[in-house]
Parts: sequence; C-alpha cells; structure tokens
Amino acid sequence: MTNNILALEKVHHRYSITRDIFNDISLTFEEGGFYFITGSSGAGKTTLLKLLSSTLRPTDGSVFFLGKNINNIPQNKIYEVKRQIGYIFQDFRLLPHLTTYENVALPLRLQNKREKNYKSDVIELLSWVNLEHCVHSYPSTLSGGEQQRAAIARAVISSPKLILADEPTGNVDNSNSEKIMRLFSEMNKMGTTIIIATHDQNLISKAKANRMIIEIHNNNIKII
Amino acid sequence: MNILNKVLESSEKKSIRQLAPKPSAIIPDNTLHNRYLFIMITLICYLKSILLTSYILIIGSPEFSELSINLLQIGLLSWVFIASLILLIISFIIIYGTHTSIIYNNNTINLLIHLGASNSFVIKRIVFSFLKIGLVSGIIGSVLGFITFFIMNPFLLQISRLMNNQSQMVIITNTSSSFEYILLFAIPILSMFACTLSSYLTVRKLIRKYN
Repeated sequence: MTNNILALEKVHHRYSITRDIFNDISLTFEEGGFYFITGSSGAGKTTLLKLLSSTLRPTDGSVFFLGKNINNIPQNKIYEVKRQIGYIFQDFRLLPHLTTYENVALPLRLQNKREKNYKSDVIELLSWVNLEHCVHSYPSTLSGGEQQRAAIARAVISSPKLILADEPTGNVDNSNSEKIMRLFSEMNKMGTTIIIATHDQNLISKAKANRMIIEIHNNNIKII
Repeated sequence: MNILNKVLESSEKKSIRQLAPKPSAIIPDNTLHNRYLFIMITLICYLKSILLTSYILIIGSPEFSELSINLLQIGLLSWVFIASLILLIISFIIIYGTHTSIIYNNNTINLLIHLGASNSFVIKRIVFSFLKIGLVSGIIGSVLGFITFFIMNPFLLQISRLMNNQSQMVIITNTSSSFEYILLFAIPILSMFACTLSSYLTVRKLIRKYN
C-alpha cells in the first residue's frame, strides 16, 4: 500500500435500483503512474473519476487516498483531500467573470493564500502552457485549446500529487490535443500521477512510455 | 522639495494601484438576479414602511369610533394582523429570490467545491453577499418609505379630518410616531435576517449535494 496513491477496494456503485455502474471492483494506482481509463460512452468513466476524486462516495466498498479511507473522512473535511487532487474537466469550467490569471490562481485563493506569494508562480505556469499573452483575457475570448490549457494550469497550480482529467481533448483539435498530451507527459516526468478518462484511442497511442490502460466493460474493469 | 517628493510618491502609488486592480469576487454578487432581488426588496420595504405607518391613520375612521370596543385595542390587533400578512409575503419573495439567485451560481459553487473550497469558505461568501443585499435594500426602502410618508402626512391628515373629529386624530398620530421609529430599524433588520437565513439554508443544501 505504501507506493499506492489511490486504491479501490471491492467498490460497488449504483445510481438506481436498476442501474449498477460497478460490481465489486478493486484497483490500485501507483504514485507517478500514467493511466488511461477507456470504455464506451456511458460505461462509467466519469463516475470512476468522481469516485477517485472523492466527489462521489461509493454505494459499497472503500476508496483509499494515500492510505486513508475517504469514506471515513467527515463531509466538512473532505476538501483537504480535494486540494491534493487536480481535476480537469472536458468542458474546461473556467469562471467567465474571472481573467485567465484569476482562474489559474483560484485554487490558491480558495486556500486563503496571499497574492504576493503566488503571483510569480501563476505567471510562470501560464508561460509554461503558452498562455503568457492571455493573462488578463477572459475565458470567452480564448480558443478551445487555450481554455483547456488554462484549465490544466489551474489543476497544476497547487502542485497536486494526482491529476484526474475527464476527456481533456474532447473539445480541442488534433494539434492542441498533442500539446496537451505533451504537458501531461512533462507533469508525469516530474512525478505527478496522471489518470485520464478518454474513449479516444489516438490519444492513448500518443502517450507511449509507462502507460497503463484500464478498460471499463459491463460494470467491470480490465487492465490492459 | 519634500512636499514635491511626497506628491510624486502618492501619484506613483495611485498609478500602481490602477495597474493592479482589485481581484474579482470569486462568486459574483452583481448578477442580474441579485440586482432584481435588490430592487424587489427595496420596493417591498418601501411599500411596507408606507403601509404600516399610514395604517394608523386609516383606523381613525368614524365606524371605529362608533363602536364601544377600545379603538386602540382594535387598532393594535389589526396592525399585528396586517404586519404579519405583509411579513409573510415579504419572506416568501425574499426566500424565493435568494434561492433563485443562488441556484443561478450553482455551477460556480460546484466548481469551487471540486477545487477544494471548504464549506465555511463558500457559506461565508454567499451569506455575506445576501446579508449586504438585505440590509442595504432594507435601509434604502424604509428610508424612502418614511420620506414619502412624511410628505404625504399633511394630505392624509386633511383627508382624515374631513371624515373624523380632530381630537381623535391627535391621539392617533401621536401613537403612530413611536411605531415609525421602531419600523425604521425593524424593516432593514427583518429583510437582512430573511436574506441571511434563506441564503444559508440554500447554500448548505447545495454543499451537501456536491460534497
């Protein structure tokens, strides 16, 4: 268990009496690993990510994050787990009334950190994702690829141990998806665990080294 | 020279402040819904203060004086009834308006919780913004209401004098003046309380849903 960042133990999840999503699945994610979760639409990729990010609690079974059972953490303390996880949404979810800089700095503001302590980090990160020219731009003026890169920067800013990405290239073109995958690979090289949910086989083939593919099929999982 | 330096320094500071604007509020509080809510509460508090203060004058009609029951007792009972009815309507409008306005920010709240905002962080920001709306609109509404009432007062008195005898009216206007000052404070406090409570209950429900 020591090298595992996340572990699912006999997890069973159902949305309704007639709709089971997972049947007693057990799975471990090692620190520094690069994982892909695949499966057809509606197979439960997003649900699995929600379970891993502690946004959803399983109907049965346990989810461990850094050895701690998430089920035993009280609701008003769950934010401590969420702060250690970077989440990237398919639809970016940048706040429209905040600038790119403010959107990226948002996780740090939520932790009541002072701007003078993080300002240079945010600027540096924005230049890492090639968004130094859009620091004061609002999300509505950015392209799809730029918005997704801003969302990636927001997920990375608080140096999380784990990054979960739900269809990160679902709304961007080929060249942008390559750039995004390059960013993920760089983050992985720095030691961050990456878990990407996607049904895009091209994307999986782009990440060549040390990747592991988890396929969801008929309420069960298969490791490829 | 020193003064000149100081002036230059202050102007420099000013220009720096302009270059680095104040960071935007994480949860926007100047949305269209909030503005509508503000206008609605101001209007309601305005009408409420006019209604409740001028109501004392209305009960001085000849029908009341002809009855053997104590005039002031009836006045107080009917005042309490009307006040609670108005309060009920206001509470409903404030609760509905606050609820709609928070639900409009549903996605923002969901995102903040996803990014690791603590429950108290979200609750504090939302409840405080609605507390401000309730208090400020309550003060504006009631102050405007009292100004209107004082402008209208001589005309109302003249109308009442035509219908009533003068000695009764003096007693009634004296009674109303104490109510006026109580209402001046009570209306903003009530609207602030209603806004705070309804926003707290709504945001707590949303947090439970997303956590």
